[in-house]
Amino acid sequence: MQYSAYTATMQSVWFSHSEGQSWSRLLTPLGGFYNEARCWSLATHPERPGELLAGTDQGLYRYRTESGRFDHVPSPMDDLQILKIERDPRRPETIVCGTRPAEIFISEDDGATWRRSQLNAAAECWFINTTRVTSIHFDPREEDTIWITIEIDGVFRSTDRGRTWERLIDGLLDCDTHDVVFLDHSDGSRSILCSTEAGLHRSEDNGESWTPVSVPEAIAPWPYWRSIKQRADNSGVILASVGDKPSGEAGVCLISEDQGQTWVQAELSEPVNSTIWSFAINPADPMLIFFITIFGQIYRSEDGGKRWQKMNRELGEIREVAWAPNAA
Amino acid sequence: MPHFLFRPHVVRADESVSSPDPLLDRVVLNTDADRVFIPIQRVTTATELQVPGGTIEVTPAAALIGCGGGALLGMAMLVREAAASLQSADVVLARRCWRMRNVMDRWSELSISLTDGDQTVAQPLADGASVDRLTVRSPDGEPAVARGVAVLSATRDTTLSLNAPAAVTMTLNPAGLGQSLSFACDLLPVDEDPWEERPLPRYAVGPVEDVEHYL
Repeated sequence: MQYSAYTATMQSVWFSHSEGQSWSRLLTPLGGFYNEARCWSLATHPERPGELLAGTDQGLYRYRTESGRFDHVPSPMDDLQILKIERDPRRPETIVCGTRPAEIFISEDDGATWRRSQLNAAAECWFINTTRVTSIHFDPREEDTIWITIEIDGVFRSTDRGRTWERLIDGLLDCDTHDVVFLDHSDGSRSILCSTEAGLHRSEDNGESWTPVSVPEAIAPWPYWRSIKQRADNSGVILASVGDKPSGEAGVCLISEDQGQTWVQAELSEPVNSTIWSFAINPADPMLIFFITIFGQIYRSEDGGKRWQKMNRELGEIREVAWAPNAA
Repeated sequence: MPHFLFRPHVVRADESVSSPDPLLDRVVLNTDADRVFIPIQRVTTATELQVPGGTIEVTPAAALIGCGGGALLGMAMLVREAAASLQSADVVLARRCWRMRNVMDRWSELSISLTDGDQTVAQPLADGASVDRLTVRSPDGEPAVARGVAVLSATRDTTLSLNAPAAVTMTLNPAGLGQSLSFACDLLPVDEDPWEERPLPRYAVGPVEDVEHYL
């Protein structure tokens, strides 16, 4: 399978068509936006290979292989930071974007029209002044349910496709929430893991309450849990990043093969230079995974996250990584 | 729903600053006569404004802004053509604000003055609508403003009439805190071009083939 990898950086979107070895970005003259545009987020299309949405400081953009450029997608988000983009895997024409300030914008027609959700997230935060969306998830089991995490305000859930929201923070040690993973068991029960700046949390009641998860300091040396992803084969293998702080100077990649009960440090070809900020998974090959550190390193695993090879190229500040198969 | 991303500089008593960025989508203006809504797209924080020729009226207003850490108190200028309604005014918001709770005890002493250098008008905030009319109460009893809302308070007779170009300065004081807020805005006639001869735009040509170091 041939694939492309993408990174959202503080200097535009970079493309790799060489399995992450070399990276390039579009030329400014015809690329659609300038090469120093701050890009925060990416979303590939599950059915249209080569299509990419990029969230920037100057709006939402769509890349298509056929055009070879980013085209601006008119939306109410042009003056906001578009920090997260998620397409509904069941209905890809539904796109949810999360911004700074923490607001949710939803399109149900592939970006043609948008509505701002009435999300009553904190409008101000003592620590970071302005809250922001850190992750968006379409519930793998409930079709109309969307989850988001907000820094710094907790976990939010909508059961009506983003029309109304409830805040789920009971038991969280800290509302600086970063990411969640859903573990739907064969008996119908569900566990949810949530990464926060005060460690990992687990919920056994669909987010109604959370319990801190104790992970030995020898495995997770710091409490700052950032990104967390389930391997795309739904085997219960979970990857998580723990860093010394945001943005940090050190970090580890953790892997759990028993649905988050126990963790070990994954084997890295060399230590990371800052907190691991984003993992890229894709069901097209669950064993192929990328991660990036916020300060520019790119790592690739071809064995499902146990061993990682650092790519030679570094890219300044990176916020998100994604990959998807090329067109056949 | 359209919005305006307000980027206030909230000055504390110790001169430290916090900088939340609330989205605003509703502006309500309270005057001594009535209460009107102003479209959000009329709001700006620009320090230069193009205005039509002829007489311009500028009315200072207290601006109460909904914000998570407590409502903000700042200033706005309502800029419009003479005889136009306040609802059609451009709303120029100053970015420097105070937290309302820090100055509430001195509400009766607060006054916004507006000057173009020749004339000065002043609006004691106590002459406008009462705090109870402008705000709601938060659960802890503080005056609060709803999320996304900017509440303006002005008095119609506190208005400067002037002709552009003009430089107007608005000041909120005294707060008894040894501080004041100040905001200046240049009003420029829309039909006057400060560049006497305006050239056609030029086109620069850089490398015409891919250059490796750009990739």
